[in-house]
Amino acid sequence: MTKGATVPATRASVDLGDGAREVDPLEWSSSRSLSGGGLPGQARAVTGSSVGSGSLTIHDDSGATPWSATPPRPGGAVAIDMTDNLERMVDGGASAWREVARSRVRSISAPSLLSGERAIDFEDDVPRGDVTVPTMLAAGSMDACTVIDIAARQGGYYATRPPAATTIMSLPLVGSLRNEVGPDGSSTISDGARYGHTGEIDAQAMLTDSMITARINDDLSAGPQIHYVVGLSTVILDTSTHPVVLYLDGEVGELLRVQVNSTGVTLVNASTSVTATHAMTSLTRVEVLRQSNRWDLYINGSYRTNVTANPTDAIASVQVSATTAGLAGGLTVDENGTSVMGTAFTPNAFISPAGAPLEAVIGANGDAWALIQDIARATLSAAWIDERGNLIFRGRDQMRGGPIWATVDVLDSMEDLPWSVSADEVADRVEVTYRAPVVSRVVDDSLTIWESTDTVAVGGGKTVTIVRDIDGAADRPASWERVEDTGTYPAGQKSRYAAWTAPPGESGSAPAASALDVTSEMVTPTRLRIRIRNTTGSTIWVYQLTARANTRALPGEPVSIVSGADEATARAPFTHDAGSWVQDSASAAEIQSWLASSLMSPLPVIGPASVAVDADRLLGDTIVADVRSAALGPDGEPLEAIKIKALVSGVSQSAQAGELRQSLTLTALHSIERDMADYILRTLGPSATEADWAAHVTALGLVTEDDLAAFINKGGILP
Amino acid sequence: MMRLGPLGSLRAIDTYPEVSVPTQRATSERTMLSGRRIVQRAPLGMRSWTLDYQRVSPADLAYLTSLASGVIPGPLYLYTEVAAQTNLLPVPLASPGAMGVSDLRQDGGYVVRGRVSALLGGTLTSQVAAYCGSVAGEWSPVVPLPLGSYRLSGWSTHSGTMVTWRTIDATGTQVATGSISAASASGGYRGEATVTLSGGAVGLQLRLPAEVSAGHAVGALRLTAGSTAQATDWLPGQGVPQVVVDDPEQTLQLVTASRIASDYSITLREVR
Repeated sequence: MTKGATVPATRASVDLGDGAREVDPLEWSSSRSLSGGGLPGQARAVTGSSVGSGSLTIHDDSGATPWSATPPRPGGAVAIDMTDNLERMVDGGASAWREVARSRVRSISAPSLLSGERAIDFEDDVPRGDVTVPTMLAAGSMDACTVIDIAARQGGYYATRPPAATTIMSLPLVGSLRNEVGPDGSSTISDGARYGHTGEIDAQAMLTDSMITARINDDLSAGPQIHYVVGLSTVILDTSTHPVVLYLDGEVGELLRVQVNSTGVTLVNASTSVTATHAMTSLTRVEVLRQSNRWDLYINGSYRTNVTANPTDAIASVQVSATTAGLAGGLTVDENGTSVMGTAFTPNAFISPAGAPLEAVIGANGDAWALIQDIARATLSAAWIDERGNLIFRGRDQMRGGPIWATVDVLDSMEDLPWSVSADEVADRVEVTYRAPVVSRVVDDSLTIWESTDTVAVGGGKTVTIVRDIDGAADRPASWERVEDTGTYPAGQKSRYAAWTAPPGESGSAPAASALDVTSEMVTPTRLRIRIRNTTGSTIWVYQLTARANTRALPGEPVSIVSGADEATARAPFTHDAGSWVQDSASAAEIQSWLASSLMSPLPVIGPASVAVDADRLLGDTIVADVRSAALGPDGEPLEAIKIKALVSGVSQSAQAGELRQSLTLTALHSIERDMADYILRTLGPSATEADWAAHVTALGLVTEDDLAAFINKGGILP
Repeated sequence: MMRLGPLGSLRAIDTYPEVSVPTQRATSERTMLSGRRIVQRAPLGMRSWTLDYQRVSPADLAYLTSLASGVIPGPLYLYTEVAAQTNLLPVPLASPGAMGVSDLRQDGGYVVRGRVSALLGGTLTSQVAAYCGSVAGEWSPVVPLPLGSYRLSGWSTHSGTMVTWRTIDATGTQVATGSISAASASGGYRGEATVTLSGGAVGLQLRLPAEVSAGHAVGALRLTAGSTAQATDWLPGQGVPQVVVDDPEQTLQLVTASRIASDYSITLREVR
């Protein structure tokens, strides 16, 4: 906790176009706030997105103006650090600065031509630029957060190692088994892959509790001169007992097993095993390098130990297995890839599962940040750029209350805690709408994805290109055949075209199969491009085109889940349109019932609270605001002790000489089941019985259900 | 008496009572719900000196006026008799780590604050101090001094080499160097020695030695003018601060063919 007398200090560096340099700020301010989620204030969660912004005033010794030889330019990096007490920092060591912003200069201004004062506005650097999400039709193996990962990677935010020039396979394993380079992964458990996050704040969505196989079809045995690097860029472990295991298999059997647990890494092959101990508690990178006669182990890019390569077969497939306690991400295979070891990788995106399993992704493209915001809103998740400049995406279960990060003594560390309860935000009807896609799969190329009966004239020797948006999405279109050619495949299979040597209706004949060369591909998941080349010397009229594929996904009809008053009598309906980012009834029902519970009766809302500066309070933290009993009530009687679980949904800070201010926006959260489980574990121990609980409730003086509800409501079960 | 001027030419100026020396330190205050008060303070406080002169001729203040108008290029330093008798080291050097600021840094610029026991007002008192590193630290900023002899003392948590000093000329080249060792004294460890500025020397720098053993901290340093041994009691740092000389406020009192007399008020402001 903050001491009564403190010496706040800040340091900053800014790049005004001539390189980053340390500056002594006159003052700065910075604010981050989650918004745009569309939830009423009384909702017991925070969703939406935040783009931090602020201002920084410095004295520029160089005095450069826009007309100087090196004019100041916006776009450079801004970094601001603070400490709420410089004294404590020098007592604790030299590295206790806490980040305030890692941002970009938006504008620079000076109050006067003769002044060295520069006012700098900055804003967080969100992923920008057009992103195209490929067709993804992997039923049960996708979470909506995979689209966040695709958009983030497009914008330079990496949860797992980006592919290098030497990479022949890269699977981020963030929310899907999709490939970035090389073949897709496939899950060996029947209901697809699973994704989780650790209890830590640096959560990542990774494959858990399943095994994937990623086959490498290339021959990786080509000799000692080619070195293959196989590894995971991100391994997170909760406990030591359940390792993450990486299997490297040959055509006939296992070549090497890499077992990672919290004490280190063990390499196991048919004849022997070696272990390298290493603290694996944080995000750790593990790679093995295939040499001609041995496997070398690298942890975080440094060589640790080796084991004999025995047998020396080629690697035919790579498998990853993790348990609920272990998370793995960033499966990569590099060819000749010792160079990737030298490149340090630190994740700058932390993406948790959105809790929305997807059947298919249909037609997702556009601006990367807009896409991220859209998914965050639809799935009641949140996305933001944090104080360290990392992209954070947290799913709705975390935004309803992650692990409790700190207990804040309200009386001693807040200037005030205003609250309100209003009937205006109560909804009497809550409606959640989602769209489940209709995904069809065949193996004989018989699903029609697009049809046209328009006539296309293709001149002799010419090529005609047709680009059309299809209804829904499809994977690779089937190869093209003439409608007449039904000998090998029935007429209902393969993509088909019908052509005539004269305009339809006039005298002519069907051209030979070799007369037209028709090819097609999906430009985007929803856009088909057909190229028709006329190999003859005279014009041919194509009067029918039917594109077919093996997999087709059509956007389903909107489905609504409703509770409360019926549509005719509802006076304050609340509608949440999850669009295509929620595709299953279970997720939609969960969202609906949760929205209903927090919107159908008035609940208190906490206003912005000015607090004693604590550099550890970050956006997205779950805290407990503890109002201990004190003689502060308006009637002079002691105020009843209460605890409020809340999520920090906004942080604004400002500083000048001798003054550092912090204001938090808190969103009250419901106590959830886990809080109750924690309470029982804390008060009654791990082997408590129903009878113990009943005795405990009686001892607390809680007689009725209402008593228990009141006890929970005032935070009795919170730590 | 005060000496004022650029490095290497600190020149005596006349002053008369009363010279008021207010300190400006940025501060703010907030009150929590419980009534708890939190005061935030800036790590550095800056002083100013207001010098008043009555019915003096322009010749008497030619030097101060030319300092104020920039005729003599800066940076300018203020050496006061107050500091010469109490402690010529600035606060972050006399008490390294005070309010988190230290002019004594380990190699690499690190500041790690510890504690040292020093005699203050006759009582052994725990004060802020800087931890020594495994190798010698970085040289401190220069303390500008007139030529002459000075006594440098300090307190340490251990006996043995406590602090290394060197005198430098205007180009920053070392003129002389030496070390001070601490020995058991009054319940702590204290060392004292004479430092002489001669020849082209214009200032003094200090640095932390390599630690004599783990947890070796040094603090409560004191530099006084003259070669007379100091009293064992430590006194807080006054420093030889860099100042700006504000333009004189002049009130003409008398202008005749033979004499001009004015009242002047000149403020010197500490900068860093």
